[in-house]
Amino acid sequence: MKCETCAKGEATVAYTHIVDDTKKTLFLCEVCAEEKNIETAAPSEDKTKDVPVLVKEVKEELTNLAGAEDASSASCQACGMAYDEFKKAGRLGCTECYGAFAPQLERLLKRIHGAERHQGKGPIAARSESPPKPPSIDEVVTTDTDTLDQLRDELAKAVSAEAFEEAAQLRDRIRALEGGH
Amino acid sequence: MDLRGLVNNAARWLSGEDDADGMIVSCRARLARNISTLPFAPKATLDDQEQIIEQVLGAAQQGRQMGNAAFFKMNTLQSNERRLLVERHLISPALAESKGQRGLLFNPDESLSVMINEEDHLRLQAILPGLQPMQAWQEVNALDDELGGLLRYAHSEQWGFLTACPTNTGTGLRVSVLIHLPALVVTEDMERVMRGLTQMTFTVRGYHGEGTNAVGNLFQISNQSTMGVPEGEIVEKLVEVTRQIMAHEKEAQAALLKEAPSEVEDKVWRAYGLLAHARVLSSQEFMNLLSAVRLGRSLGIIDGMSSGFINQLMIITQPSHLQAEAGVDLSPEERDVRRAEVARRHLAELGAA
Ligand SMILES: [Zn+2]
Ligand SMILES: [Zn+2]
Repeated sequence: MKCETCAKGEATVAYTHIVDDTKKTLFLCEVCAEEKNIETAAPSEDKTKDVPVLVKEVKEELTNLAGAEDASSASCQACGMAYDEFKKAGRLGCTECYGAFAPQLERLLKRIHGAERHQGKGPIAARSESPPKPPSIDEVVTTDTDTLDQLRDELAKAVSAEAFEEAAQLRDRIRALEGGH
Repeated sequence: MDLRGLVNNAARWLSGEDDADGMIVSCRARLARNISTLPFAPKATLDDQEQIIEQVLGAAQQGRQMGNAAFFKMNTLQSNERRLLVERHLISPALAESKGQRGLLFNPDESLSVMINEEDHLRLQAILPGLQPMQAWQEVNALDDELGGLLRYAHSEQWGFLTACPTNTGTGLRVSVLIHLPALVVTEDMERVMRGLTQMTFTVRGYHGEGTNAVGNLFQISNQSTMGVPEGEIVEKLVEVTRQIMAHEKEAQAALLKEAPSEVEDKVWRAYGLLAHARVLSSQEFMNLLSAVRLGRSLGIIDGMSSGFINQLMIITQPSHLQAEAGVDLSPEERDVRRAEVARRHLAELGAA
């Protein structure tokens, strides 16, 4: 079987990815698989990298998202990771990046894993000392009294409490307000 | 501990136990974890990396499972020593090549290990012989419980364990088997089987030897997504998929043997003859001969040779193993000569035993 990307190499990697909720399978040679950064199975003598699946996909998706949502100005307060930097490297800089880039990550994670929520094991240590929940969106000042500063405060709190769902919603509202000005 | 001593160490995953008719070499389960209060790899300074190593070592020492573990800092090792660890599946090529403060902890039979400061702060691994990925998951899970009770992992309610790359977020679990599929390769049924397989979001890929071609008819099957399905189910699905592929391979083997019994037998014994007598063997040729012998064993053409023997031979003939055993730098040509020597010696010992 020949590689479906370059039609030259012998296809040794079956690669499935999800596009618009349907699965597509590609058969790739080692070289093209390498280009897509698919995880290597075993050591080789050359400079093959053991990197996770789909990294190239991640970068492409991030580029699309950046255009659609104008996320390019976002950055993580905790580690200084800029969204553009994440887009290039495909790697996050710290725990709080997950909050800082929550809206983009929500879509990205869904696309990579075909799921929106983790199922399975939780952490042992954090279970007994999980951070207090931030107030829910509805408890936060709403309507006329909404100010960007307040929302940004709430966002910072939600992020540091690792409440990413709330953070994502807050970020959307901040965007909406910013857009209206 | 001297790393060169590892060359002849009987790693548990090479034992050939539970080899499922000689088809499954090994299986492994890997977990990606990060400490929530420290920056991930892209933003970690050397100081952060030191702290991460300290915290992980501290936790490992308090636990029981890594009580007898060996620890190595990558920057204290020669590049050949790091390649040796790659060949033994203890570290990734990326860890072997990276700069900075990185480490490896592993237990005496090499079944449990932790890479420190690879792409994630911790990469926990259990690697076992044969088709026992559930056991591998349970072993890595127990180690994770132990370390996770002492370290504060990056985690969110919604997204599970938080990793540097979003492709590992959630369970952080990658589980795989290393499977030998010679008949499916010969009959060119791999495509059909792989198409069926990837319906279930598993990845199959060829096992590397030297260079870029898949060699030795060895493939790795692993789960592709890490979020949304609980760990136990991911492992069960992998086993299910593996059993389907094994059934296809068995069918193909039976068909080959029925169609051309003499040719199959001849191919197996020729491979045996070359391994026992050749004077120069490239890595690729060696892996293909070993594949024919492995098939001969699965089909009952060769007896008196265990899967464990074949697995061990496969590892000790890899470049850095040959180099470590020789104790001097070898050119690729010299390695090919040593490889043939090692194969010859082991087959002679087997014959004498
Ligand atoms: Zn190609
Ligand atoms: Zn960050």
